[in-house]
Amino acid sequence: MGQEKNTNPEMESMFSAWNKASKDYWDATNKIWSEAVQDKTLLKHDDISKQLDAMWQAFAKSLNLPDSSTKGPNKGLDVYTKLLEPYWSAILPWEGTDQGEESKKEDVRTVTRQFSKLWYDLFDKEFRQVLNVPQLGLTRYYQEHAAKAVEKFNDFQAQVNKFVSLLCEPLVETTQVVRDEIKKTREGGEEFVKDYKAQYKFWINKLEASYLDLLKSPEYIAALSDTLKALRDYRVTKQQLLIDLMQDLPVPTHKDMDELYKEIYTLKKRVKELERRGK
Amino acid sequence: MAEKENISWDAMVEPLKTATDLIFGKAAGEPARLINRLMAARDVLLSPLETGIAPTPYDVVYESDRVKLKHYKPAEVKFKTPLFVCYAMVNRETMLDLQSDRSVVTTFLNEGLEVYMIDWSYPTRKDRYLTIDDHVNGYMDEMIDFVLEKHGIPQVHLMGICMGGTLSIMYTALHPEKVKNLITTVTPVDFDTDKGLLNVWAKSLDADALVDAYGNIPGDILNIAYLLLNPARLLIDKYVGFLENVHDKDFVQNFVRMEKWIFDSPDLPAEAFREFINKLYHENLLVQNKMTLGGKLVDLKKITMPVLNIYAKLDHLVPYTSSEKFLNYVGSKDKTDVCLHTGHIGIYVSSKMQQEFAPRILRWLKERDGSEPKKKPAPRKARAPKKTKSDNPA
Repeated sequence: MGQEKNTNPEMESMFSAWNKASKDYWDATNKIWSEAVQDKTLLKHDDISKQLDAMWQAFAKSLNLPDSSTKGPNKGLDVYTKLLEPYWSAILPWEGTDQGEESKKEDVRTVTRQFSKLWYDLFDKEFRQVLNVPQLGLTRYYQEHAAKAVEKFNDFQAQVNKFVSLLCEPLVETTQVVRDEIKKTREGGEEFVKDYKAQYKFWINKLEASYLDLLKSPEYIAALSDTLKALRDYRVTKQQLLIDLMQDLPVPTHKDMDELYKEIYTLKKRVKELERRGK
Repeated sequence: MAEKENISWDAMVEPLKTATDLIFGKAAGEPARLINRLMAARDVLLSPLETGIAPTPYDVVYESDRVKLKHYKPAEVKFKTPLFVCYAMVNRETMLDLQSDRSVVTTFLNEGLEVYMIDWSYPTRKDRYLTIDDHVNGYMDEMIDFVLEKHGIPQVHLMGICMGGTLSIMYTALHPEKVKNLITTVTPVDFDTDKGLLNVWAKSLDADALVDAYGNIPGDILNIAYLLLNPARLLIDKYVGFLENVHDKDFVQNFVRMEKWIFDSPDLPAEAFREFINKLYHENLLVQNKMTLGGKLVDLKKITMPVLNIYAKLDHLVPYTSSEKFLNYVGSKDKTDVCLHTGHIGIYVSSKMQQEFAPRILRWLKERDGSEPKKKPAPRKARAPKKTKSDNPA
């Protein structure tokens, strides 16, 4: 063992370098976040970009990548920055004016929707075109099936995000209503309701009513319908991709089995009809 | 700045924290009470629990593909005609025999009524091409013929549950000579209603898309739809109630039995699902007398035998508006509407309904079991539908 170690100094050196780089990276990251947590006012939008940039530099250094700060804006990092922007805006200090209670609820709604939309827009504008580049040559159909499956998977995920965020809205909104109610009552010098049971009952009734409104709204019905269509498209394309992958394996695909089942179904119907006529 | 920061942070996080506090706060109560409750809950959950469902013994007397016919025989048969029960293809017929003290089957047997019940079982991919016609004019007809032959009788009492009621109505309209009395319970008939969320959602549901995606429709997809009918109660409040009562062994046993039944959901054969959504939820063909099965028209006016229609005022799956007008469409003179103040499942399993639901069916059947069946339905003149009896009109 010791001999092997002695005969491989290059490996040891690489390991030490990696170890040191990783330690530097995590030290830097911890320092940045410790400072940020201790002083939340540091977490302004501009600061976040700087901090992420510093983390990226530490990370790049650990991988021996060129210094990205001298190579212009880093595209990958920009994407994430853009993606996370609405969430930072929501949870970190606003740069705008003071907000009322109503606008708080709207913020939550807007932020949740914006996040889904932003993710989808990025996919729609940046990646979809790439996936739809015409495929050429002998394997064109296989490549096309794979690209289509990726495209439809992302479409489906976007719809699921939209649908789930819609489903979460009553939960966030009604708990906010309860909190506001408690605050208002206390400001009036009274106790809202003393026990948790009554508070819970108040909240669950509000939540039920809020869901009822949502679940019959045209917006929800449209989202449900779009999600199911996206699910269909994704599953159909995924199925096609799996058929491609499985055709060299000694197992039947759904397509093979469905054809067989259809034949059995038709034959059984004919046999039963002949039996009936025979009687 | 600090104030603004709090406002924004609260807006995102505090509502969820409040919700969690409310849920666990309600379940927990005071610390001392919580500890006692946790100790009791531990004892209950670690002890042997009786959570089996469908305890009543039966024989499987007929099988065709995946479909089975269960036969429940009373100690003493007191009815001349046996009851043939057609359950829905969604969920399981075990609902009618959930536990011995809440069992529609047991109540029937105790009064001497012989019961045959279809078990649609669990469709597999090979069943995806089966249509409603295959189920009604195929399996159901085969099994009713089997019972008629076995007993040497010309007719059975037919009882349909939920979607099984819709199938029973179609069967009766197509084979009226084989049905002595028809009982429909929480049965959707008029699908053009906005009272139920399922009806509202189904109108924009692309059944073809779901069939393309899955083939047979997975039971879990149907379960998700049912849970979304009332997420506050079915996903939160129900389990908060469980946590509150987890120290009570009887409560836990009943709760687990119901959970077993609820999530024991067979897939739905693809073509039957497609037809059900397109022909009934979208086009509402049944009440317009435009529904066809196997090329034959399902004419509700051919239902001329006595009909008992029971539905639930608080039904969130089949709104009462979907069931209450059924008797307006049939040709029977002897027809009875019963609207019970309960829900879709409660009608079979709630403790209160044990004295209401099955005993009422038994009384109704007893009054109509004795007379000899007519070989052919009497010719009928076209006339306006008329209710002859109404227990609880909605």
